Amino acid sequence: MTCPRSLRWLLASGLLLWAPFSLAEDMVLGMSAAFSGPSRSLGIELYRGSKAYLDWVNEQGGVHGRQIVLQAYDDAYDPNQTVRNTLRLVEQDDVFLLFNYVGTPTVTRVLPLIKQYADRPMYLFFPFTGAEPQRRPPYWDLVFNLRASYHDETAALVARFLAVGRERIGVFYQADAYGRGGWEGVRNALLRGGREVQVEATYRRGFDFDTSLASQVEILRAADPDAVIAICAYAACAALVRDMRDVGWDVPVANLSFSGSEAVAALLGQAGEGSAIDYGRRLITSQVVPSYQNRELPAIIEYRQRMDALGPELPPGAVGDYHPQRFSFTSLEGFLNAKLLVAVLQRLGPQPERAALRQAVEDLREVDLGIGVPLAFGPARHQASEAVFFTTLEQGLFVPVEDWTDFRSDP
Amino acid sequence: MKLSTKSLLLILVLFAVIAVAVSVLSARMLYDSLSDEYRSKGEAIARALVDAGTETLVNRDLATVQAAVDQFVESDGVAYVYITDAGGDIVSHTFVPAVPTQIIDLTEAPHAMAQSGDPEAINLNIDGLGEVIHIHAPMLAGAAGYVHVGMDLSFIRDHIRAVVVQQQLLFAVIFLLAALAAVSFTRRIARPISLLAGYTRNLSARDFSEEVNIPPQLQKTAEASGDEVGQLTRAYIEMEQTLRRYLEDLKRTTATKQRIESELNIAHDIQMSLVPRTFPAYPEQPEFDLHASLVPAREVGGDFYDFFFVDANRLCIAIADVSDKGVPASLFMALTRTLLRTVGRDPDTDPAAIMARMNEDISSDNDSCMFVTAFCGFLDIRSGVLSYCNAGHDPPLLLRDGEVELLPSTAGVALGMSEQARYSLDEVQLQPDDLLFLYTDGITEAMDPEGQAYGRERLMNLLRLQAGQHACDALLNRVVAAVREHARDAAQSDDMTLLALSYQGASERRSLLPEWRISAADPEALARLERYWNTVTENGVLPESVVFRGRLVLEELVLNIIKHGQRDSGQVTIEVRIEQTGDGLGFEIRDNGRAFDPASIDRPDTDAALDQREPGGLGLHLVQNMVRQFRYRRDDEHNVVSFLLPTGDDAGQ
Repeated sequence: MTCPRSLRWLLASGLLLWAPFSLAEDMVLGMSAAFSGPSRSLGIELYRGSKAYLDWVNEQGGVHGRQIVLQAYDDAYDPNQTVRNTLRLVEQDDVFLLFNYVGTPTVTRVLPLIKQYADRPMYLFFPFTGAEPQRRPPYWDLVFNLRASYHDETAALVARFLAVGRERIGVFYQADAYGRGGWEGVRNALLRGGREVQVEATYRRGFDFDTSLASQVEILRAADPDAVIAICAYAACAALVRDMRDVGWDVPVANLSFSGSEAVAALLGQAGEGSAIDYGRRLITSQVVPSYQNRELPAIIEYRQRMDALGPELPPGAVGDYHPQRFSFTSLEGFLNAKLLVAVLQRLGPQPERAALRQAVEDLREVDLGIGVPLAFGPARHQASEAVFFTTLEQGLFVPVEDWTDFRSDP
Repeated sequence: MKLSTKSLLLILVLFAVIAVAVSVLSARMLYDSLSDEYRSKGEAIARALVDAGTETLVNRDLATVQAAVDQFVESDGVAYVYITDAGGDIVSHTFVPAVPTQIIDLTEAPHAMAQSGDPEAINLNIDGLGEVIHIHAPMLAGAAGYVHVGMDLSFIRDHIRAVVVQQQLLFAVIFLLAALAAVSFTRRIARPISLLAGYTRNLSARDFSEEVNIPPQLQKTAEASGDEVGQLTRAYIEMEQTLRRYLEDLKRTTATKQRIESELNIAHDIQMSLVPRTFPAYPEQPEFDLHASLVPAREVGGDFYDFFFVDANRLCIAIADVSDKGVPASLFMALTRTLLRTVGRDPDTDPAAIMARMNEDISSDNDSCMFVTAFCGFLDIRSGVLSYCNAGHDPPLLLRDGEVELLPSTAGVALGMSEQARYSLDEVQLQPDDLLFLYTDGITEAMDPEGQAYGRERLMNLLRLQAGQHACDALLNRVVAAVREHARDAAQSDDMTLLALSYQGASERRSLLPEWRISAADPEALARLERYWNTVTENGVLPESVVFRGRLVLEELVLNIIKHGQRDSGQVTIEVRIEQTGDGLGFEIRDNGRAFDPASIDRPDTDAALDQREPGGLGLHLVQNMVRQFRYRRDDEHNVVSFLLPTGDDAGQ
């Protein structure tokens, strides 16, 4: 650098001037998520939900006087990029902890790296995935989850389908670790009842909504399942529903929370314009957070307030043509993640140390975030919630599934 | 096809063969090495997954397994990876949109998979994926399941195709360069050759008498180029120059030859005109039939025959053969024939004398040492006696009563051999129907292609068979034909000369012209003589000049007898007899008057005044000049004057 000497002095004096006003160092949280590509809405909305809460915390003076800074990088749902982002966050940005990672393949790939930093130690908080790897040895101890796992979600879905007489379950899943995790959940749930997956079909990650899934639909339909559980990202989920309904096949389709419910709804809404087909019909989505329409819950009220207060700011790497959603399950999850994390950080005291993190979390035996279900951590319990909620689309809106008998198997 | 096109084609074929061979070979090698590499790569992946996957699979964490599996799918050439658990169920895979039926079949089939740690590989063909190398490796010796890796062979195929296409492109570029070089090189070679070819094509239409005009480019090639093309060009130019010289020589020699040929033709005509060629000869003479023929071996020859009347009753026949052929022989022949004619005209001579005289003349200045064989005979047509002399010639043949005999030799040597040679005479009496056959050795020595001579025996046999059947001309033709038949294709080596004389015997009709007799005292004598002459000549056969001369001579001689022949006592009678002879009219005038020899009259003094001359002298002198063989004799108290009035070619002399 050929930076002039005088400028350097100026910069140095500026720092000196600023320093006395900073009471304590910022608390930097490292985030890597998809802010671009087909799954960008997940990363962006998760970021926005967390940001809504953290902005409010920072406005209140932060945690023990420290501002909470969310340092986020785009990985476009690419595991290799996630690894690079993580290296950068840990080595360069020296983040206090890792937070809000999105996706199973990305998280699964980054787990060994986190293990590498076990001596610091470096913890990953509340990744946006229900996958098993971070819930099992040898990584479970370095990761803390808020949400229920995919196994929880799929087991709940299978149980409900079985209850309404739908025993021939087909699985449509993303050909990667996420899809495999969901598939395993369905399979295990079925195996427990002595059943097997009726039929399966896959698609490749990075799927575009305009691509046809006709061949997969054909494969699935050929085995005549009476329900399809889709473990996919929102574009493929929407395309599956579209292509199934387009050929007149209307068995119920169930999505997992990860699919990004609002994005699915938006795509199906587009597809349904000028069409007689109601694409939203018989589409169930399992959620790990309650519906943001449920204003009886204090957390939902708070969430809606904070989201409305949030500016139009997008995470770095997100391109300008993205239109943020006012509310979504994803941003609600981000909001709740941030709220639970702040509760953890509060417990660390004014001199937070990484080494004390695990103990602080495990000591949270009962937390009420205001979502109607209690959350709890423990020494062998790094997943705070097992709760699964079901929603379905009615006139473009997500409503809780009140009565599963609507989905009873056709006589 | 042009040379450059040919070499281009050759290079094309060569390159095609090389390109195909190299491509096939390298594709094969590439396939082998790549499939080996892929197999080992697949095996490495399988091993890595076994190492990484066993623990996670045991822990039932399929998402982690899938993450590990997915990592490898991104590598080049990996078609799929899947993992089966201990129960044989596929618990992790990378297939989209679904697991192919072949794979399901494979996992459901009771398979004897490797229990040891080493992966195994087989080749499979899978719908939608194509051919793959399928590798499976056991986890915990199969207790935890198997890792399966499919390596895409179509990837190898594509790779090989790309390499082959690159190779072919490289070959195409090299081919283009080589073709360019070859074409320009062959053009450089072929241009002088095609120039030469064009030049040569024109050669046949060229007028070689014109100036040599070699194209400058060709000249340059000939001078500058040391290679085979240059040599060829030089050789060609040399050839043309040689050809030109040769043609000039040819033209010159042809012109010379043509000149000589035309001269020889003229010589032939002259030679032929030297021998009598009007046949039948002497048709007015019933005593004999005579034919002759001369066929020279070349344009001119050394043979000749001749016949003529020595006097009213004696016919000279001769045949001769100069000891050489061609122009020298023909000159010698002309000399000999002239000699014969000159010497033979003397009425007092005989064949032996003629031969002796000719021998003298020929021998005296015979620098060229040539000699002539000759036969000469005098036939007295009244008596049939043939007196003859043979100077070294083949003895003539005599056909008599169906037999052929040789005319006895007179033992004379050929003319020109010795100045001192002696020639004797012999005689033979010919009978009516005898035939005398004269020939040269061109007949007897005519060779057939095998070198066998015709020979005298054959000739004699032929004549014996022909005896009495043919006239002389037909006989001659028969002999010539027989000789030619014998010679077949062999070239005629010598002149063929023949003469046949058939004697018919003395004729009664010979002197049938009327006699005239009158008394010298008859005042009408001259008028009667005139009428007599008119009677003799009234048939109009004799030329006007001969008729005129005959009248003049008769009148002069008869008038001379009337004037000078008176005797004292008795009547003077004048008899005139006219005989037809071969050469003219033979006259015999007899009178019983005073003896008077008209030949004794001196040559008149033409310088003296006309009135002082002796009367009649001039007339008798004129008469003797107008006739030939003028003779006088006193016979039994008679004056006999005989002479020959020529009626033939020399009648006008």
